Amino acid sequence: MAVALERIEFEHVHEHIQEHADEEGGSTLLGFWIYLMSDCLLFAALFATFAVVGGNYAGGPSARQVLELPTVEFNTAMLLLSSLTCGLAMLEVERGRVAAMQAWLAVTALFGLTFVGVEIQEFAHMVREGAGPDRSAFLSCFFTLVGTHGLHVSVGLIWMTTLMAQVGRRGLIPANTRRLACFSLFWHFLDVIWIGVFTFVYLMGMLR
Amino acid sequence: MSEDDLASAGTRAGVPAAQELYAGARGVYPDAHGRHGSHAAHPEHRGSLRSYLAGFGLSVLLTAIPFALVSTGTLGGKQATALAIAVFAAAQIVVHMVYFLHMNARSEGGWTMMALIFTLILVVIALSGSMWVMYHLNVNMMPEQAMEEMADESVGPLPGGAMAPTSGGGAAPTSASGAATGPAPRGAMGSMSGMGSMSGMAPMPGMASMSGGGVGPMR
Amino acid sequence: MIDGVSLYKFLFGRLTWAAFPIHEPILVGTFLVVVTGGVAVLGALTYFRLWGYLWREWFTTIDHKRIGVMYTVLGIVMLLRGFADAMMMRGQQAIAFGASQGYLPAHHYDQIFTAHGVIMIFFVAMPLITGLMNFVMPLQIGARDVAFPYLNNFSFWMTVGGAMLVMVSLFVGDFARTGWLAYPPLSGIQYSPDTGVDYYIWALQVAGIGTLLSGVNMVTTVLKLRAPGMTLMRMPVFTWTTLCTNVLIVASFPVLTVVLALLALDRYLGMHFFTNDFGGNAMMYVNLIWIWGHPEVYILILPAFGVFSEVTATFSGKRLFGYSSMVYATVCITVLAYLVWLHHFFTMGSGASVNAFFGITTMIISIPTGAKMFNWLFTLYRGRIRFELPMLWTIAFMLTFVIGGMSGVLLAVPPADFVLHNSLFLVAHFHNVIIGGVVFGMFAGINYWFPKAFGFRLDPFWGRVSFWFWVSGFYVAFMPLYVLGLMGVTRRLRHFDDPSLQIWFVIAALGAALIFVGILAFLMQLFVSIRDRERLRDATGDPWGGRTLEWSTPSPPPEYNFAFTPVIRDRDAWWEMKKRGYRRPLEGFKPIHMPRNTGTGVILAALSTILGFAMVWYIWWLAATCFLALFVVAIGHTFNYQRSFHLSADEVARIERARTPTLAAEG
Repeated sequence: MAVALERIEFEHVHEHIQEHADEEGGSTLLGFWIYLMSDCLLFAALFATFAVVGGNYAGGPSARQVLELPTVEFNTAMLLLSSLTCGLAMLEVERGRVAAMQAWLAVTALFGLTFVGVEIQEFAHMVREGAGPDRSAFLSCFFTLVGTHGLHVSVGLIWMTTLMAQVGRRGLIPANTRRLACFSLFWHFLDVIWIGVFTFVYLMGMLR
Repeated sequence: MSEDDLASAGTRAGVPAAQELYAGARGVYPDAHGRHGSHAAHPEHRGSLRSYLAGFGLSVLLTAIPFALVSTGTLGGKQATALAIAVFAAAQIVVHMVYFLHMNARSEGGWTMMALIFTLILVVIALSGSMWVMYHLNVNMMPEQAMEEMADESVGPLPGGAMAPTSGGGAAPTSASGAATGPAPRGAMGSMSGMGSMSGMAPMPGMASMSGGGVGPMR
Repeated sequence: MIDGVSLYKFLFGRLTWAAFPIHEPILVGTFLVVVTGGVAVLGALTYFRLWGYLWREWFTTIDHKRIGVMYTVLGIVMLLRGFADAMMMRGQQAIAFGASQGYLPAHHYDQIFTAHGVIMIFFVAMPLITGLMNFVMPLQIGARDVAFPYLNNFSFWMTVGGAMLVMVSLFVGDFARTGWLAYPPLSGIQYSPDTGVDYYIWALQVAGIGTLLSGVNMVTTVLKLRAPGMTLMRMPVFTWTTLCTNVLIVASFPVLTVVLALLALDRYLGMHFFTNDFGGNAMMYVNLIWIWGHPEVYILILPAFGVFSEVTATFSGKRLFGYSSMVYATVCITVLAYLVWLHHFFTMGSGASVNAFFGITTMIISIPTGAKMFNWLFTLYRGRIRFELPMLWTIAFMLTFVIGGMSGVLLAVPPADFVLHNSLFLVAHFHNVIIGGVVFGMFAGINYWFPKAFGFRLDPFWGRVSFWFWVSGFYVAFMPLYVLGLMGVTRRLRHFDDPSLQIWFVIAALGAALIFVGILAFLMQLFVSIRDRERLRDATGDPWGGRTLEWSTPSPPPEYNFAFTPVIRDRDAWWEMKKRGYRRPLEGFKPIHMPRNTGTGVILAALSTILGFAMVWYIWWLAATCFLALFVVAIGHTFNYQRSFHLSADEVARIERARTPTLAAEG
């Protein structure tokens, strides 16, 4: 009797575990979240560096002199809008509407691209003015912190393009919806980091 | 399908069936498995057009106000403004977490929230810890700072910004043989400073410059 | 017409013939040995036609057990390299007195102590603990594999890539001459313009990414893939320490990534994070790297604590004493590990308040560690202790680690640290805890789980020889360093003037020689065990009378670990199953969904390694190509949706039938 009962338990659980053994299974989103947490600490280390040596202008330009609020206002708007459209794309995933989802993703990508473009222009402008990353500790920190965020956004753009191609090929199969869910986490997460960047680098920089 | 559904979609497809069959045993073993199963049954917080728009509206507001505060200087004092924008940033981060990232205490059995809280604690430790430690370093070791009061503790700091105090001649005072290791300063950069005392070796350029005082001011 | 010099520069960056150390006899000798050995191994592989087998069954495997074994092999191979460095240092310090300059030029000696530290921490200790965790943890929680098997393969090869870069630096260019943490400004471009620090940076970045991803993977595995019934408080202690270690990895390695990236930006793009001029602050590097570095210490020791917990319980034939306190102690250590980093640089000059805070937290962290020690002792108390090899290592650990821990508490007192900072006392202390804790733990673990991995035990005679030489060698080698440290001798010295110190260094060198015999005996143990595997065969799958789930599987476990997932009713799951007269099911098998092997991990890691090499030598075109190729391969991989297959029920039945009849609890 006991043996038979055990057999039953084993067999039922078996189904459950069979799914577990699938690499692309239900662990993906939690795994990705944990990765994002480590990314968060990566930015924390950059923020800490900025907090400690970011005020060292070494006779070079100060934050007030090189940073322009209108640019960052525009870029913040771009990221916020892209976050909204990314969310809308996810709603379409939920409804299973591929075309609408692709459209919203494309809009998201457009906002993201604008953001990166404007940031590159801002950087180029600063370098031309003689405020490049090798000018002072402040500028090294500025370029690295803001640039790392920009790099993440750029990777997000590549990822988005890849996902659009994959959804175009295979539709909203579970593997793809899972990836889209991860991507949306990533994209919204970058927005959260940006809140830190515009507050502590740009706005506080204006106050120094 | 919300993304939280997606979280579970892949794994859980087969679970409900298994759960039923397994139910007999469940009372006896209230376990991780049971938790997972029940959580699959209730779809978690899902985003809706409404919540996305609400989140967007709030974050526009929470972004616009600090920008306005800084560019108009309404609050007068810099300290007050800085404090205010920090509070707005914190509020906005919470808004994003709730409306865009759909954080709640239930998803993934609470592990996402747990991970987030743990991460936030570490972020606070790393940030505030670094600032605290480095602030005190600057206060204590800045060349322009009055060093006289510290000097009589035989921790006369060298003029290099980053240089640490030596511990009284570099060797333990109890041992005559200590002198054999040379008069190496033993400071924080000291894992290097040991090498400075290697006989028969060209002086390390790093040492030369570190103790030479030709170092720029830290600020 | 392109001028030849600039074409050369374009093609090879700063890599010239001068980078090959043909004028250094020691290196040429080493090179010849490595080449001869390498050719012999490669030749043998080719002769026995093993390449295809290795590629298909091992290099591209996504099986956590095989990846675990490969990590361990990497750790052992790199141990030989790291130990060779140690012997050279001990030899140099034993003879370089007065008029004698020893046999190592300063520029070589400095590379050796740097490489020794880097290799022992990153490419010996880390692979060994990761290997054990990889092999054991999924079996202990009743899972079929880790959460992300592909990532696991990739992580392993990234670690290999980092190790390769360090090895390459031996023969192409130099390694860093800065000490194992490469403090600026010495490691800045101004004072270390050659390739050494660049090798250091890229080797650690490549390996560090692998470690970070493996950490994410294992945390997810523990959180998601536990067998039904295995609540958190029913997890084996080794699984607990695995969880905590990997939480530490996920939460600290990003900081290492950042600090090395910032150093690289200083060196490559002339930025000013850690420079002496333009507002940089070298101490910020020290601060950041220890925010990673202190958790790293616990990353290394926690899995060893887990091993000791399993071993004491098994070989005392008792439940582990104070399971809950063990778990809470582990969690406490995990959190406290982030609050003590400044004790590595008390002498920086942050002042009394800061030092007092970190001194106190450091003393506090020794409390949970002490609690663990008592738990192990009480587990032994009135147990039926069997002095098998894992138990021997555990007892040696208890004695040795307590000494190391005490000297650590001593160093936690800031005023005492001002005297002892950077001295050989410190060197003795951390070798005391790392060898006494991590290395002994890994030997205990290897001896304990080897039969699970291969189906036969390790030879006990040579194991004991290795054990006694290691343990006695450790004491002979490191106790003199405590004495020298108290006398005020600083670390990393190449030459001494005072002849009265020499005797201590000679004793230490003898100790190193004893350890060397211990290592040779370990290799002999492996050889003899493989030769006599039939004599040492364990058909039961449970050679030690184990208590946790991994012993319920056959040895070696099938690819899928468990045909049926066990239901956990108690803390010592397998012990409880045995008591209930558990029988292995013989029928009713179902097809099993398995991931397919893939070569993507190898390719990505190879590209990353070449990228690192190109960056070291300023070969920009190669770096750019590799960077692009990384994206192409990684993205290309995501277009492949056919990554798994089903092992048919018949196949499962066949595999199970072949193993079940001999298993322990059968009948």
